[in-house]
Amino acid sequence: MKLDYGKYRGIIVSIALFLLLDASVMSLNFYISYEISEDAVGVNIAGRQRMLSQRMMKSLLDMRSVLVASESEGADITSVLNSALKELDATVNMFHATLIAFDEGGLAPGAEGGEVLLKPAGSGASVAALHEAKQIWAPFYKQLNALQKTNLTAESQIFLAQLNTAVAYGREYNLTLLKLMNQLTGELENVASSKASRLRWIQTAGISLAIINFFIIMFHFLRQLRDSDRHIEVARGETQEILDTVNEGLFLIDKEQRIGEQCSKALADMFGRRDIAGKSFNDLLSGIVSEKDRATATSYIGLLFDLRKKQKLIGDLNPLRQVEIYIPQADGSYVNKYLSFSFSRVMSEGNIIHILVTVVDVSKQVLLAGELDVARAQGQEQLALLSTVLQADSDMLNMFLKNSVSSFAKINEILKHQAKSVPQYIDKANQIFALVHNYKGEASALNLGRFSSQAHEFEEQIIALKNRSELTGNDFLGLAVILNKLIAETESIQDLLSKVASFRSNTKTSVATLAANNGDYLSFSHLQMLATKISERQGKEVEVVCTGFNDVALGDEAQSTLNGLAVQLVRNAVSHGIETCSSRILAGKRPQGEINLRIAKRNNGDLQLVCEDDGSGLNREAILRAALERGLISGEEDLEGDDRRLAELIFHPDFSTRDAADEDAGRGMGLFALRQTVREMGGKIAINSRNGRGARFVVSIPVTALQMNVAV
Amino acid sequence: MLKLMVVDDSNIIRSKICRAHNADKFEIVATATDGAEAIAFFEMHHPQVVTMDLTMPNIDGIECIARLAAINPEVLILVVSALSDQATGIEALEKGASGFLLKPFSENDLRAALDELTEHLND
Repeated sequence: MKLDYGKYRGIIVSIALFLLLDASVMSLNFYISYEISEDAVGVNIAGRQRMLSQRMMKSLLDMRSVLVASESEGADITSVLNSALKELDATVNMFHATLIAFDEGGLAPGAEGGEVLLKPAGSGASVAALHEAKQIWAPFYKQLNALQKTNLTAESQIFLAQLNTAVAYGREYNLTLLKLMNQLTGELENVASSKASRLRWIQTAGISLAIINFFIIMFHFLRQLRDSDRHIEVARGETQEILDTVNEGLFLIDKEQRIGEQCSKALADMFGRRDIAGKSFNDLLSGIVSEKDRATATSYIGLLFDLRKKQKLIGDLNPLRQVEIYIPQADGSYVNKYLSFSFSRVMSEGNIIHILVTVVDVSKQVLLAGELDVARAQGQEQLALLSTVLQADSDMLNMFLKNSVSSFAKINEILKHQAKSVPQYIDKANQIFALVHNYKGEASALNLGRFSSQAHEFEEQIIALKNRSELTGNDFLGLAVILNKLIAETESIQDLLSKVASFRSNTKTSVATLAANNGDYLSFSHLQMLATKISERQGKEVEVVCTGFNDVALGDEAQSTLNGLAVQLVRNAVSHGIETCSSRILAGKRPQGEINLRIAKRNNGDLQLVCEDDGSGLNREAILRAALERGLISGEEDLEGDDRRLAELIFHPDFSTRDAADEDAGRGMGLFALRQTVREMGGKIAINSRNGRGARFVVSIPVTALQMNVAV
Repeated sequence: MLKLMVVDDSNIIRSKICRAHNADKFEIVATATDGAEAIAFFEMHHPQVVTMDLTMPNIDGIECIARLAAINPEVLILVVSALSDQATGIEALEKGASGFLLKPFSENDLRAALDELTEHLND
């Protein structure tokens, strides 16, 4: 980590000054102490000069008293004098050398036998004292030297004279010399004393400055510390504010995948807990996401801490990019939400030290996206519906809607009716089935795929009900739900139709006009469309030829009833009568089958609907086998030539010669539904079949039932 | 120039990578259609960068990545796969791959991913 010198410049300068000051005071201290110690030597030696001057005088006086005594007693004193002279010589030389050293600077005999270096006296008083001492000393030094050179034995009188001269001189100047040496000593002591006091002053000043500097440093330091603390406090406060306010969940994860101490407040609401800081990330996810997601997330974070893995190139592998979590509640229930986790590396000096995790609650977005998908699908369905409605015959469409409303009302009535036994329930189911089946057929004929497939689902439910060993009224509740759905869908097409009608309001073929149609001719062109659709699914080709349709005019009710019957007859003929193209070719027929649908008014006023096909005719063997399997006939029964008995079998509910049911046939309910409708109107059905050459269904309906209006 | 090897059992993807890569930076030294071929070509041509599919015949992508990383731990492997399961992609990276590119990808996506993968080699 680089040190920010700028931040600490003040304190560094203060400390440097402190050290410089201390070093200066210490150097001065050493220098002055050294000088003082030198001065102390000078003072000692100057003091010694005082002693030497007195010792010389004493030696001179001693020698003269010895000489005077020897003259009166006649004793030989040569050796005594020689010894005294020697001592005097040493004293004189020491005094002289010292005096010269004080005056000019240089070596002088030390106190302990060695030599010491003296600096020339600096102060005016010392120089003056030395100057005067030298003037006094010079003649005295000569006189004393002369004594040393005189022969004691041969020249005793001369020696005595010289001694007397020296004593006389000494007596005159001895005290002056002593005073001068005293002056020198005193002066040297003064110099040393002034240096000592200067040293004390410097030390005091130095220590005072050091103390001041110390306080400055301390002040600086404390101020900086206070500023820094304040900044840290402000930064911490801001961080806390951010973490308390931000809508995202924010936290750091370390290499051990432990969550850091600081987390944003939003996390508590997201995860429904407050003890997130310091927890392991794995524990946080435990129980709220799948075990697989948790394990994958742990591995993924491991990759994020690996510098060799490129962060930008592993984003697609984030298993928590959008994850559904389940938050347990106090009452034992769960609340689910969608969270989106994103991960970013936190780098320091080229190393990954943490992973920053950002969590966003995207539940609203996910739900919105789901709703959008549903709305888009509904929109597409509406569009498909619109396209169907626009292509469909508006007349037929209106008829379909009317029939549907009528059928739904009937189904509702049947559902309301209380049954008392299982056979009654089965009968109820059969009646509903017949109505739904008619509805499915009409929807299919109009190419309303969505409605026919919903009706098919309805049929499946009824079949499932019928297969139950026990039945109660509650079992029929499910049918009411599907019925409501069908009603809603049908209403939506009604709604759409009225919009289209208003759009086409000025055209001749206005839907609104056609919707109000009463007493018009029948138009069964949609039957060809139905036949083509079914035959395409079954690998067949069929042509529907309608005759007599323009000879009768019918009311709305009659039209819709006849339409329902015609649809069932055509469906049956295509599914069971007409063969596949290849079978027809093998049988020597033309590949395209033909269904003749005729409507005619009989003399007694009844209406006759005939449906004749050129298919294979009723397959007696298959009918007998299927009837046998279902227990409808006994093994001994022979139905050869008995079309009436055959008809009873094929109109039985649940009877089918097919093994599996599809949208077109196979449940055995189509002909049952046909018979139900005919019976309700008091009509009859006759069947005539020619093996390999086709079948003919003749439906007769009493005129009273149809309230027929004969136009021509 | 960096030596690049393309490993994918789909001819279309191989051609797309060969067409889309930055030719100023990469030189394609080999293309392999399965893991076994990739290992053989790797030892022969020593590519520094490899693009690797995960679902392949013989030796699959995960196993192949582990083998290539064992031969040369410095090799940079970019997994190019249609992600059916994130755990599989993560396993590929744990075995030694360095990046992941999701199929389908645009030519720009591929160039950017290869640049990101080899960014530290630019110096």
